[in-house]
Order: sequence, then C-alpha cells, then structure tokens
Amino acid sequence: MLEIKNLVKHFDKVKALEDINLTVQKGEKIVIIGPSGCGKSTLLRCINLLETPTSGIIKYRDVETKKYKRDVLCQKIGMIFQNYNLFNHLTIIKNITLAPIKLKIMTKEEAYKKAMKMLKLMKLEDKAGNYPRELSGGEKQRVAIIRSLILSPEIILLDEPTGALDPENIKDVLEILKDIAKDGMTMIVVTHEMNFAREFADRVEFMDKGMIVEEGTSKAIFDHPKNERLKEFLNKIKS
Amino acid sequence: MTELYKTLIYDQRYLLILNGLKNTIIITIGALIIGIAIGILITIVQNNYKANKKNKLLYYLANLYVKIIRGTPVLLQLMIIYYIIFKSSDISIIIIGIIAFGINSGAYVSEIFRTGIEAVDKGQMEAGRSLGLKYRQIMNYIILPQAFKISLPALGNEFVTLIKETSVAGYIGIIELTKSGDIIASRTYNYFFPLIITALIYLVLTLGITKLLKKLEKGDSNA
Repeated sequence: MLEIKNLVKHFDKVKALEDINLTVQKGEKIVIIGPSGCGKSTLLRCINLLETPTSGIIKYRDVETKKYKRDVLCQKIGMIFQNYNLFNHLTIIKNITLAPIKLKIMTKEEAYKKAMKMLKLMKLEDKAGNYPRELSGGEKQRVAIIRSLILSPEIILLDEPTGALDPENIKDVLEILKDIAKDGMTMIVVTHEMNFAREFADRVEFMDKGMIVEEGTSKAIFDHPKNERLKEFLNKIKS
Repeated sequence: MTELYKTLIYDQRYLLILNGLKNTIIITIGALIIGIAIGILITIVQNNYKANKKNKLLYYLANLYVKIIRGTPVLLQLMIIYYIIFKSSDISIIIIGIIAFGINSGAYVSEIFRTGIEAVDKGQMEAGRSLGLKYRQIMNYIILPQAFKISLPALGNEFVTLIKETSVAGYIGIIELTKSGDIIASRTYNYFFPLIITALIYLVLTLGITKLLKKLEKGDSNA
C-alpha cells in the first residue's frame, strides 16, 4: 500500500533522513522507535507531504505521492500530531466537520450526524459544543483522532500521539488506537511507549541518525535485538 | 472665570470645538476604514507571494509602500498628498485628510495583520494541510479568524494612535480638534483654557476607547 525507496531529507545542513526504505502492506501496524532527533517525525511528515523529500520515492498504491493532488492524498493518509493541533477557535463538532464539509465529501447534516456518532463512541458527545481549551489532553487527542477518521483514511500516521499526555490519558488513547487497529486500519505510529509498541506492532522499525537500523517483529526487536545501538537504546529506556 | 467664558461661551465658541471634534472623529474613523482595507490588501499580496511565489512585483511594491510610510513622518506624508498629489483638485480637504491618514494607517495595519498571522501556531496550518484542505481554505477558515482575534488589541491601539496623529491635520488647514483650540486661543489671546480643554477632550476620547476595547476583548475571550 505504501512504498518508500531511498528517501533522503536534508534541512539545510542537517541530514534528517538518509536512505530510508520501507514497505507497508494494507492493514499492517508499523511502530517506529528511536532516540529523539533520529528522523522519525520527519519520515511521517514526508509521507503526508508536510515536508518535501530531498530525493527518493514515496509511492501510495503504486503511484508516487507527489503526483497526487495534495487534498486527494491527505484524505487517504490521515495524520495525528503530538500536540493535537485542534483548531482553537472552533467548537469540537466544528473541528471535526470542517474538512468533510469544505472538501464536499459530506453535506453539513451528514457530517454532523457522523461526527456525533463518533463522539458518542468515544464518550465525548457532551463536549460537542465546547472549545478545545476546555478539554483535557486525552479528550483533545481523541477529538483529533475522530477528526482524522471522519474522512475514512486508508492509512493513519501518528506522531507521538501520547507524547504530551499524562499516564491516565495515555492509557485511554492507546486503547482507542487498539480499537482502530482491530478494524483493519493501516497504521504507522511513532511512539516512546515501549509496552504499547511491543503489544501493538506487526513490525517495529528502529531508527537512528536518519536511518532504519533494525527492523523486525516486536519479539525480535525487544527480546533479541542485534544492533548495538538498539540494545543501548532499549537499556536506556528500561532504566 | 471670564477667561473660561471667553473660551467656550462667548461668540458660541463651543461650537467651534464641537466642529473640530466632529472632524477629528470623521477623519480618524474614515482613515481607519481605509487603513484596514489597505492592510487586508497588503496582507493578501504578501501571503500570496510567500505561499505560491506569485506576483513578485506586487509583493515588492507592497513592501516598498510599508517601508516608505513607516520610515517618513506622517505630517510630511500629509503635506505631500495635499500640496503635490491633490495640488489642483477641488476635493474637500477633509476627504484629503482621510485619504492621507488612511494611506498612513494601512502600512501599520498591514504590519499588525502580518504579526497576527505569524502568531498563529504553525501546527494549525499543518493540521489543515493534513486534512487535505486547500491553502486558501486553511487561510479563510482556520488561520485568519485566529489571526484577526490576535490582532484586535493592536488594532485598537492603532485607532487611539490615529486620533492623536490627526492633530497635525491643522497644518493643511483642516479644522480638527487641535486646530479649533488653537483658533480660539488666537482670538482670546489666552492659551491656557483652549489648549487644556482640547487636551482633556483627547484624553477622555482615548481613555474611553481604550476602556471600551478592553471590555470588548474580555467579552470576546469568554465567548
């Protein structure tokens, strides 16, 4: 479904990504781990066209992403941010329905109906008229997830979705991600939650200094790491 | 007491002050409307270029305009517009004043809007893009409403600044508040009451507007 070949991204003199190769099948759950600054987020942002790669190819359904119209591609590839990035001046229901209405995927009534249904599933229906600043971090992230899901994407990219949350909220959001995964969604998650990664991932990618250094099943990565840097990283996280 | 009487009542001089006050308010409000219109235009041109690299010439002209206006005194701008540009026209002098102060204010308002847009968290733009919204849609529905709200206090300041700046309009013969005080003083040969009274009127105006804007801001953030 997603194919990345020889992806390179440089920011001026900083080499953020060096020759990334990654293929993602439909329904696969990929978890990317690695020390901060290793290029995990940049990789997601390149897939989502938020960054333009310096060189290399990213293909979605066998067509290069840069050949898509951005609005078409971004409906198919959703993105969840660490800081939620809810629209501060809009109520929760408007946050969720803005894109489907403006992109003319749904009428206003359809969008509202679907949004309310999804809010109910996440037990947030009484927050529909509130503003983002009135919600807790966990609630905001759940709204951000709904906002992305309402467009029926085929892939969701999650950039440290629990990175700004307190432990209680982390659990809630991770449970929701597991629910979404059960429905067969293709997901690429950047996270520091190692227990979640172990449980959730079909495949774990360990990145360091802009490269994928080791990849494998969560069992292979966490129980039998081969690469020295990966061993070091896992030890550091344990302690 | 007779001095105060001479300043305000004798020869119905209070009417002169009221007329000056009226002109000050007309010029200020007119100029602010033109200023906001120009400010929006400049902001559109600047953002259009930054986002799509289109209309480079317009972009440079817009920047040049802002630089020239901000780098020269408003009185000189007023005089250039009155004595050079509208030299032989019979347009009302008040209108010329509105145009001159409007052109001046536009540069400052455009800077206010630019700062407001830059103050919107860049994550808002990214979230909009990641949802597949087009640049224009993101600007219209996400960035500009937030930027405008951020800009409101500074716009209020610009309003207050304009009220005070229009006091130089007397230089080209507009009888606004300051000039009316000056005229009365020259007739009574007493400067104390006319100047202090006009100063007090300015003070009441600016303090009142500042207070009103504060109230509006507060009401807005509670919404």
